[in-house]
Amino acid sequence: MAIDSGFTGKDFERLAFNINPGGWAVETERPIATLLGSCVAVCLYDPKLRMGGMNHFLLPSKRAGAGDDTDVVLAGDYAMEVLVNAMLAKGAHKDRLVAKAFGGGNIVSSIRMAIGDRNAEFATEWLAREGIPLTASDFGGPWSRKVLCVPNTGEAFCRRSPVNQAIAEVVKAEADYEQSLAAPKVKRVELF
Amino acid sequence: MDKCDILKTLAAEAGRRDLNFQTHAAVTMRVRRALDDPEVPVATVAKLIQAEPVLAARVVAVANSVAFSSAGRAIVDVRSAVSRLGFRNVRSLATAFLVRQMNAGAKAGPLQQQMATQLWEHTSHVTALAHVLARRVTHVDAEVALFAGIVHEIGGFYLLSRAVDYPGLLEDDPAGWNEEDVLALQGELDRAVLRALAVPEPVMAAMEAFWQGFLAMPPRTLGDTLLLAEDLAPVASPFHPVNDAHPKEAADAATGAAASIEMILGADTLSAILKESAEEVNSLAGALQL
Repeated sequence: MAIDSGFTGKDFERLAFNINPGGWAVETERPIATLLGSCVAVCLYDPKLRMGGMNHFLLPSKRAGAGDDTDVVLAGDYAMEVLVNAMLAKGAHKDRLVAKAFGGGNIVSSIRMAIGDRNAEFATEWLAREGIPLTASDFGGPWSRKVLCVPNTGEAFCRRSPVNQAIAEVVKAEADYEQSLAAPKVKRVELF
Repeated sequence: MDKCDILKTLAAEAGRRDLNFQTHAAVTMRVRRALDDPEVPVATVAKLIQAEPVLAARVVAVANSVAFSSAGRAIVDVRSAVSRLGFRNVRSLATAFLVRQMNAGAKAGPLQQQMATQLWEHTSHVTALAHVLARRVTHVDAEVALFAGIVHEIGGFYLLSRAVDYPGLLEDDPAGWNEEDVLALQGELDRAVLRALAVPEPVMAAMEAFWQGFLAMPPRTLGDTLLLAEDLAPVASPFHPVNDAHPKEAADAATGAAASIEMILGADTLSAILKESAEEVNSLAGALQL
């Protein structure tokens, strides 16, 4: 399904731009990159248009009971809809889309509700429900991952990295933010 | 000296072709050199191999492994084993043996021995997987993949062989092997040792891709073959330890159970191919570990 460009992952890394948690992009030329801990990134590709996109989400879905101001772009259900809609808006057809998905590492703590596993499960189930074939995936394990999506060929590259000091700091920030989203909001009474 | 200084020193030594091998590796080096001549008679090669009983046993065992014995006839002599395997594979096995011998003569402490054993187990699994993946998935030359698997962490073996000269190197902060600068220097040492051993350019190119670490999904090159074999290997390298702050993940990762990698490959899937090839992989890995 993907076209072999003959370039290496390193070549594409030099050309790529990065998306952060909650980010997404649809491109026809420039490679898209992201760094994952327990988050998941899904790459979508329309082979007819030679157009691809990628998202990066932190949680499977927006939590019930969380405040309305929860950062919904970080939730998988929102992130997947936004990405598919962006692809469709640029002319893609849903029945042509194929997916590759990465991430869901469990690298901060085994008792943190295995958020990586839940993200991976969510992505797999969501794609199956929507009838989008998942042609490649690399999920789980105690690694961070750098993912590159090449939009005009459908190629995807994944580099697993052991968790060193620098990566641990990024992952901890990601985990802290996720925990902050889960914390109940305090209702304040405003007096006029 | 810290890890970085030691790795720099060893890489510089190797860069001057100043590899400090143990003396009994000389026999194996003679075998490798003899095999550089494509016209050398099989009988001569067999005679040289027989001078090193463990290498001779390994050559026969690999010739009888499922990966090479589809006809099923058991081989019991070195000459027939060399004929079945071909010179390129015998040369790879001689290199594998040389790699192990790098460690054998040193006054190895228990930790060094343990790391050497783990590194060899890791290497044999990566080698066996690379051989099968080359034939079934990436369709690159399986013999070259076998050789690349054998040498893919050669710097680690060299480091272990020299650890006795740097007390505390192995004991000091195992997680430190994962730091970015240390990983880069491990690559430098691998590169220097491979060049000192005159490893062919296609394998060097694959190793460059391996060090960069980006696995194309689906995989297509020799470098991808090595990366995928590394990801699938059930035993981790002691020089790429898993985050030991989380014992469950570490244990899972060490047995290959921590992550799942899957892809559609034509009419098949990676997991189906691996299931079908399990006996072949285990047989070859086992023969290499004799």
